[in-house]
Amino acid sequence: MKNSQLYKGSLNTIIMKLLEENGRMYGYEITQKVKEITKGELNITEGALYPALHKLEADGLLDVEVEKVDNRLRKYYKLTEKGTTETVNRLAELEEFIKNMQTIVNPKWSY
Amino acid sequence: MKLAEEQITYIENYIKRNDVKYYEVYMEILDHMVLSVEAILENDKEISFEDAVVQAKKQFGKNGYGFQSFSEEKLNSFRERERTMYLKEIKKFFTFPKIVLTLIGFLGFVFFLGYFEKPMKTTNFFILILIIIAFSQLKFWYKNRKINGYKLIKNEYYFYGINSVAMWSWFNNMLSNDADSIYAKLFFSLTTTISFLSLLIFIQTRKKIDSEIQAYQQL
Repeated sequence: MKNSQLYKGSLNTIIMKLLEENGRMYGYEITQKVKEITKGELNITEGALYPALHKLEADGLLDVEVEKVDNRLRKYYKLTEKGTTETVNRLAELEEFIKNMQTIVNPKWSY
Repeated sequence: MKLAEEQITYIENYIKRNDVKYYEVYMEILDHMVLSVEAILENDKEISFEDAVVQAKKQFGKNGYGFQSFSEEKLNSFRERERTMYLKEIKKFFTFPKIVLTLIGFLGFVFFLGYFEKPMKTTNFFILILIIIAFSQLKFWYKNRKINGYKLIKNEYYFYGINSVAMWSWFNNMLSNDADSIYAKLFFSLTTTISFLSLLIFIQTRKKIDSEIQAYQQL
């Protein structure tokens, strides 16, 4: 992951935001979607993505559905009701964080 | 570019060789590996299929430690989820109206033990029932112990969980067996009530495991 330390803390929020927009997604699809949106700037490795997905699932924020695709099983992740509410909270927190960072890094841009 | 059947079989065997034990882990790794190898081959026309597989594997696990680390992460998060679920379920027995039944069960044990001159000798009977219930689940565990040669995390956890309850009850019984005081009776009644509640919760989760296994087999 590029600038991994900067992105690490926001990985769960990124995943939740993507699931909020796309309904349900599988692991590989999430890595590709992030790459596509950020034009290859951000590369989420499997080693970072799956532990995050499994943790969110363990916390009851994600639910899973298994389907047969191309003769093999595919695991889809989607937000639970609790996860949907949590996404709103985490996005608000992230926005607040970005705003504060802008104030610190470049006070002229702050509003 | 879609992989051929033989190439998918190669990846399946590659995962197996890399010591992946659980079906839930294997299923997720296989799908990701196939898609990842397809993309690598699409983007790099020079790379061999075998090298593409190795390259795809490097992305897995914490800091690229591979499937083993992936499996451990999965097991840890599974244990955490099950622990949370178990505690949540057991708390329900201490809220209205279930708490009434819990109290009746607990007091029932206390009164029952007070009825006998050597009450703690009779507790072996309850422990025997608990152990028989727990070991009767052996058949269910054995029947579902593997899918395509892989163990199911849920099934293993269920088996160890239910037998731990039986062992825990047996141990508590040993502790209180020679003490016929009121404290021993209360201690035994409390631990046995919790053991029965735990068994009820585990047997409830069995239904979920059963339907999940059937779904895997139908897919």
